Amino acid sequence: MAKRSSNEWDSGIDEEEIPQIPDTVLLVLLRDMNLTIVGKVTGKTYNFNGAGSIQDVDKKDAEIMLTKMSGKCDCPGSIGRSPYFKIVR
Amino acid sequence: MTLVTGTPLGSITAAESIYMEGAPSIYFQDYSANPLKNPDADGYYWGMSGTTSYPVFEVGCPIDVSLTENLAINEVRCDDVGVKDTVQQRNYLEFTFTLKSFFPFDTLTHLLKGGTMKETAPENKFGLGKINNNQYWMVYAPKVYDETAGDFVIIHLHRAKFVDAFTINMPFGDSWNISGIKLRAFADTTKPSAQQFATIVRSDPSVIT
Repeated sequence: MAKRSSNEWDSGIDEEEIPQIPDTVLLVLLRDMNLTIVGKVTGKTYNFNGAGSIQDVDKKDAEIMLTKMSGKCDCPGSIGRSPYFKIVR
Repeated sequence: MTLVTGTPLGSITAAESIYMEGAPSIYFQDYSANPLKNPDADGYYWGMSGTTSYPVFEVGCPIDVSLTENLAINEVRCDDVGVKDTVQQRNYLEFTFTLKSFFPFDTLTHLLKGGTMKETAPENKFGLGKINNNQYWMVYAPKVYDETAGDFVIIHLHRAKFVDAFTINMPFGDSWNISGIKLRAFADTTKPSAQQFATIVRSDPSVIT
């Protein structure tokens, strides 16, 4: 049996068991449209087909995409600006 | 104040001196979505909540809004005495309005009975082609008549469709507008018979206690 260092025993986790942090995030489109959008950071193209469609999006692009909003109506009682996306997970 | 001719005797429901003015807000959502109150504690179906699959659309700047109904009316005529009765059946309710707001196109395309909008920056596109006759909407039209107290009236149509021909007016020196927009609400047989076409709600804590 191979010996383990005291640090390995303390953590209780082998190096290969350390969970990888995903570099993507799942975004869902909240607008009723077919949307092709190019990530501002990575240049990747993402296609969403209809409200509720979900795509894996690079975290660097997602940060900007989550700030994408519809225009604003100044009509009384208007719900104001509405976002294109929200994070699923 | 009683009349000099005398007011009716007995139990009377008096009128209120509260008046409403101006257009309600108008929202619509795919009929496949459930109303927010589905039903409420009293068994009424109304309200709207956007979901990821069924977002709510806001109609921007509606003007000249009216709600009418269409009835089948037939007289019961007996030749010896004339008309003895009138039989009525409600066919549909109809919201008619003009709107000034053309954007965004993902809302406009539904108002004009168009296809799904495509967005690829910097463009929005949608087509006007064959009309989808299987598309129905819930309609939610709230009107706040006392902003301070938060008193409001809501008209909720259960199963409606955009019908009739639109006209886009492009006048000189005035804003474009789209007239002839009609939302026709049909009977929703999944709802109780007394509220198949619509539910109308009033909330006024100072009066309804």
